[in-house]
Amino acid sequence: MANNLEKEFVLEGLKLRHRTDGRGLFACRPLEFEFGTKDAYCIARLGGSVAYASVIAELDQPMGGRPSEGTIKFNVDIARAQYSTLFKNKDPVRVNHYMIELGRFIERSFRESKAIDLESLCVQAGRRVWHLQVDLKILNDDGNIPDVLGYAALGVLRVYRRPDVSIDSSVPGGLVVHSLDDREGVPLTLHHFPVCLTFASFDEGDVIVVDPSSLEESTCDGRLTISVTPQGELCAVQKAQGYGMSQTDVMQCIQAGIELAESSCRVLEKALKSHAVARVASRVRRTAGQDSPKRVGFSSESGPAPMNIESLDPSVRDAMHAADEPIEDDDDDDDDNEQDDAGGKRITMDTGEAVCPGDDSHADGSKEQVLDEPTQRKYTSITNSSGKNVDIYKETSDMVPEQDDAMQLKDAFLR
Amino acid sequence: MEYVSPEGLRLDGRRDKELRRLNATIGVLQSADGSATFEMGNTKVMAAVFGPKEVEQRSLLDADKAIVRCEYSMATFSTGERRRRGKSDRRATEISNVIKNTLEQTIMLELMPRTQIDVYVQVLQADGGTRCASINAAFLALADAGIPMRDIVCACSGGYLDNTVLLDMNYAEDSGGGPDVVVGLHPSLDRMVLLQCDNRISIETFQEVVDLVSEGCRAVAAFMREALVEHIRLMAASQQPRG
Repeated sequence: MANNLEKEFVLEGLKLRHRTDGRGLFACRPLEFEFGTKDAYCIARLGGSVAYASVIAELDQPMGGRPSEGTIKFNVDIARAQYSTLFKNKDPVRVNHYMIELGRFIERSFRESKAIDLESLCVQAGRRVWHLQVDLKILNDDGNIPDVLGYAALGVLRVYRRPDVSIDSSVPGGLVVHSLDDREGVPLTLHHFPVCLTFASFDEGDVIVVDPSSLEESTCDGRLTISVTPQGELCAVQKAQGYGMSQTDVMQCIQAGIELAESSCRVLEKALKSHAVARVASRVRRTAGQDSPKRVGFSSESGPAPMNIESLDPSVRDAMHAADEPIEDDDDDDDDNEQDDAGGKRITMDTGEAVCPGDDSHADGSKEQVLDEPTQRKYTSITNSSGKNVDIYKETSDMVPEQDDAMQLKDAFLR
Repeated sequence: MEYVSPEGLRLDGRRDKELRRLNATIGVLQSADGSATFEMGNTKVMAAVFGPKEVEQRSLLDADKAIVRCEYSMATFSTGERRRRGKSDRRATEISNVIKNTLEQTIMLELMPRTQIDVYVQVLQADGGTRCASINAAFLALADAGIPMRDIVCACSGGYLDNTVLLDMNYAEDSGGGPDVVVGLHPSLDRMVLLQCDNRISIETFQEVVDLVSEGCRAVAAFMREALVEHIRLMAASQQPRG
């Protein structure tokens, strides 16, 4: 909450078309994305505001009236630490109402605009469909929560891969849900990508800015939130509080919004690309040296994670692989990740994607040993140029990563 | 399903730019400070206003202006099937919030500091456009309670089906899967205090729909003004001294 002096300062600056952080009136703060390695969560940052989104999928009976469609629900929550700063002196009921309003807006821009193909979530019409629940959490509020929640939701829906299902009549129930280790997860089908943008108006609608900071939010008279696709379509509009806006102002905001949506989507594409590389790189486990195994969760920005280094005693390796069995549950929520960073319990993330760096022998002509394990996995041990033993985890699968991924993998090995 | 026939008639026989039949009754509840019912076609909504009165929850008290509380609920008999909705119905919460925020912009809150105004909206019959009818009914109830307001607030909805821009859709057209635009307008100030849009729509179509719905709002505002004048006239006539 800004005091009166701060509000006056912001307002006087805006009358001269200056924003306190030096941005242009229609310029957004820097946007960053961070994805979980198991493709189940996304953290979006818009300036100082941070939001987290995760998806949980459940296979269950379809909702009455729509037997061949899955469902998706959005739920917005706020981190307890933010509660008091965001809603000083407001009662919990009002906070709850605000959360519901945000959740409804995100729902409208994704579900009601048919951004997600719900029919692709159907496994057996009338019997089994996927029900998705997207949990959004506000981790830090530095102004403009609706936008950062929208970005987090968009990011998580683009990165999420649900377990693959196959029909098998020999199993009771007739369906086999393959865990993400056995089979590559299936990404969701999105028809278009809605981007949420908020505009704030000041001085009785005289000045309009995009992406208000926390200070500007406390000062503004009215707010307008729109959801646009980069292709120039409007998915949802919400102007339900604050000073009224004229129709020309609204149309001007929408036009500006489309350009901003294009640049936001470009940022998201870049982040998804580097995440794809990082995900493939995480399948690889390297063993050498005496360092203790350390699992580092990584973000799309830091690139491929530092590989685990361990001594190559076969019995140790077996024990490690046995302990390495990935956990069955797929919801990669906050608690899971905290565990990883703290205890280094899990060593690799493997979800069944093949890692085939082309050929088995390295360019510097090192040897190769193929070891047959009782499990389905094949281990190839090679010695790279620095004399360290490198263990490549290879699994037979139809998936072969693209050439540039494989090249980047090779670079990661030879580090 | 065909929403607009080739002759240009809709499911209920209206033309594409035609509003439904409007009807308003002011002063229907004795216990409330102000009350009104508003009908748009088959949608019938009743609003009751209590206030300005002392703030019940001291923590919410605002020394500069009045606070507005709004509760929207649908009667169990309002829809085709009897349905009991709990208080935590998300849609009801959202609409309550929407109505509250719209009224906060309309009422001159600074004139009544440290007070509270309660608005209760009950949907008696739902046939599409309940949000709009609620705002209109709330406005009339506030006027009946004598609460000072900046301007008339009127609301109307519209959409786009079968390549035609439609005004004031009923439930069947609402569920048609096309976009749904709701506009709450201050006609004299020419400001939209409420603008909601659902479903995908191109920018040009959106502009057309908003234009049409704003016109519809002004028509509703004219009707409400007439209804208020008529109500005052009747009240004045009934209070004239005899003899």
